[in-house]
Amino acid sequence: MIKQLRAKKSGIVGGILVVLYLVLAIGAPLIAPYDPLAMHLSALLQSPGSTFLAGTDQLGRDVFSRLVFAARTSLYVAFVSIAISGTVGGLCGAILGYFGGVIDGLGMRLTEIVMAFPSMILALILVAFLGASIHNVILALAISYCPVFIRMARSSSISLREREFVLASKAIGASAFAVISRNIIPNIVPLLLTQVTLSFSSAILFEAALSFLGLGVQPPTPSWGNMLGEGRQFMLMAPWLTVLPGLTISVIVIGINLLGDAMRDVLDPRLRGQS
Amino acid sequence: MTNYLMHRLLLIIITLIGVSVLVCSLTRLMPGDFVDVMLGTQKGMLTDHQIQSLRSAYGLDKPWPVQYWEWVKSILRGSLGYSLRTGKSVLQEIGGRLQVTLELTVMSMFLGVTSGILLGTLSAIRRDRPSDFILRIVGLIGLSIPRFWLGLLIILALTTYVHWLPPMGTVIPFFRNPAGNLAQFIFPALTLSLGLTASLMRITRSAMLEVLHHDFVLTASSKGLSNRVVWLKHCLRNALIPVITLIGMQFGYLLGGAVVIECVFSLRGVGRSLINAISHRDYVLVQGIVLTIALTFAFVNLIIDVLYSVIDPRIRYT
Repeated sequence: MIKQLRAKKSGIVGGILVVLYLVLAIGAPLIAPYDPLAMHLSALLQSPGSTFLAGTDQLGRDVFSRLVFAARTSLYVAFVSIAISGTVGGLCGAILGYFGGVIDGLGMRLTEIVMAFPSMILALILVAFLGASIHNVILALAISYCPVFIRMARSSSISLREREFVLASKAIGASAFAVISRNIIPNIVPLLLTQVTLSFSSAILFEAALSFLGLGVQPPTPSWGNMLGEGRQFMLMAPWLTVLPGLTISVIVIGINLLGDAMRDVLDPRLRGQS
Repeated sequence: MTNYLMHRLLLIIITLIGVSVLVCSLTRLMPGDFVDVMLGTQKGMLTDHQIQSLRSAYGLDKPWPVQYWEWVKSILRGSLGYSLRTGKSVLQEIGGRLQVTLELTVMSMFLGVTSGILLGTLSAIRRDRPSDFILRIVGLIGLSIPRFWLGLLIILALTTYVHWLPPMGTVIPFFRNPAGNLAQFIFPALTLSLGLTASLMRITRSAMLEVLHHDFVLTASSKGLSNRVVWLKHCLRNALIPVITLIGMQFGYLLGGAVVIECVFSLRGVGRSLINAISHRDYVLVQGIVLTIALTFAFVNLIIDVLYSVIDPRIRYT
């Protein structure tokens, strides 16, 4: 009882942080005091103060405004890529698991090939091959995260297909499409939801790493990762360019993870406390 | 067991063939090829004919299935081809660098596994006490902060407060100068291991707490065994099974993270060389590195699966 309460409390903290960042991202033009791309050439590498809340970078751009606008980029990339991989992976997994046989075998081999790469390296290679741009980062992340969803959806689809209510639908003559869309998928979604949350936080970290390496979101569009990458050269002169974007990333990821943990506790008590 | 191993090896081979086809076809999708990047802005000074003959000199004029087939033939001869940029053999290019990456991953694996299991056990034993609470917060933070950022912070802290950084230019071999080598690797390895420590801590804690409810634990305590024996011999061993699954999955995560960490700490490992090869469109080197990584990853997963049956006698492969 106490444990559940605590889980909920931390879940609320997580929820508040997520909402806060969403507000920042959506209201960026209203919240940011300056244009994130405007260069104040008389104020290069200024340390945080009253005019520039979080200081300026090497081109005199306001770091706070850039952080706020970067929330848009980073959350957009993470959200769209996880939405794609969750939907596509979930559907494919449900179908593979329901039909089994040859399609399932082929699908799983293909998944295994994708999984033969550590996901970071897969995303890296894909972005390199497709060219670094925001949409290619989304595509690369979506592909890297697909196998997890396919495997989860597939295994629950396999166990669902033998359940009485599914057999009953089949017995009254429901088509495979109807069974999958009405019986299987609604039962898989809650399971996938926790995974979606946790993948979302790791997608934010991924995008940051890719952009940091210069293979993700391209400047001048601000993203937390490319801000870290650009600020790195000035690390000793202007440590805020390194400290602040990282801190911004950490706080939102902590928030999402808290929310994800609480969600898992509520949705699936069996998995309580696992990573 | 032998059958199982043969089956797994066959699967590894099939996967690697898939990986090689995929990489070889994908590399050709990259915008701009090696010749474009090598010539840069000077490309305008060459006639089309000259550019064509450059391409054919590097074997880039043939369609990719032909290039793939030649690559496969050279692999079967025991060579991964020659780097387009340096002309050195890919094996030679990868060799020393793979050592660096492996030392980095193995070291952070060691750090992560020992500290993760230790802290996780501690956290479970001290459940709901302040130390457990602090450890859980540390675990959450460890999972949530970007590792490359932690690396940057470590560099920043060392230069600002200690005015010292280990020389990173050339890697000092461990057996020639262990202290120098460790000085180079300890910070990158610590940085890389953070995520592993955190997730192992969390899973060890929950696995320990779950095992505690089993009857055999009660039996062990009622036999009069000391708490320490019950915790370490009876609980931990059983709790380790999910932990090992996670270790296997995390190895790939470490390999991927190594790419970024090598860039942060300027370590000359495979990851950094992959990034360089990609930016120079050095297809042959990219393919070689990717194949090596996939192979390493596949074998580690195999080893982990075999380790299962050692730790848990209930699992037997046939």
